[in-house]
Amino acid sequence: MSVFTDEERRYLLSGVALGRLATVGADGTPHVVPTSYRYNQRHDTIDIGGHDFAARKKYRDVLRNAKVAFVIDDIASVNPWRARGIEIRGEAEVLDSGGAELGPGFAPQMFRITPKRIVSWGLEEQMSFKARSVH
Amino acid sequence: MALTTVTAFGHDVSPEEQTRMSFSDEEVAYLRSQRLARIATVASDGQPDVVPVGYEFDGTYLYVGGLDPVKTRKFRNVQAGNTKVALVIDDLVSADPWTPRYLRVYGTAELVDRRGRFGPAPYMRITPTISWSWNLAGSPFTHDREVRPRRTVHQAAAEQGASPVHTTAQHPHGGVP
Repeated sequence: MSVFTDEERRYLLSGVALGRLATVGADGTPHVVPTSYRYNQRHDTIDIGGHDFAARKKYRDVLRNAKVAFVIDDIASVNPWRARGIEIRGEAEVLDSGGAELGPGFAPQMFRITPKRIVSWGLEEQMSFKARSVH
Repeated sequence: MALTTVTAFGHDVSPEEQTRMSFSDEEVAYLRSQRLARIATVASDGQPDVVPVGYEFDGTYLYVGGLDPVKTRKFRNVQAGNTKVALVIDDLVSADPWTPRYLRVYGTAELVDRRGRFGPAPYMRITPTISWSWNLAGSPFTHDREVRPRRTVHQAAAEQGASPVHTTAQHPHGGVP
């Protein structure tokens, strides 16, 4: 049983190339980076890896504070204006293997993000908006 | 300083250390060419939030508004005193060849009333403190090409407590929907 709606799962699998991941630095300053991602249907998680992953600020941030936010969004139509997307807030588990499967040349380390709060908009009809806590 | 090999987005790879007063002409042109930013804020319990936003840049500050912004998590996080924010503006010039680029801005946010397209409205006014730009020229990404992020410590951060250049924020046009 997924914590995502059917529309959300469809969007997560629709091939939007990039999301943006927010982490929190040691002094409380947020950090945000564009990144590729994979919706893991078996675990119902967002999996994120990358080149030299363990050398990244986001990796160091998550080792200190596992709370992250990840947003995937795009503009379905400019005229009429129709934006859509999904934000996932939750905790990132740091895995030491599996990351290499997420992209060519990717490091073994990866994040597995389990949603705690999901906000989505524009996925079903122009004005749709869903926000709820899960887990 | 040693050059470093760029990876998919060049994040965090030994940035070219620079202290300049503000954004470069190329960075300003990029800021003005893009439609959306993604802004990250932090709640008091350490939980970050990240959402797409329209933005405006008046040469000094970045402004983020919205239809009913006061109720949003990002506004509430700043209202609660967590004034440090981060924005990233990025796009894929081309997926093939893979050609990403970005401008990331760390800043300090305050909530202000400002005249936008629909009259006075609440806005988040962001004073840039540090920014990084990468590959704004839009060169195709390759593993054997070396590109360094361009890092800027902004005037407001370098001269803490300095008076802002503009004390009243007015702008002739409103935000992106």
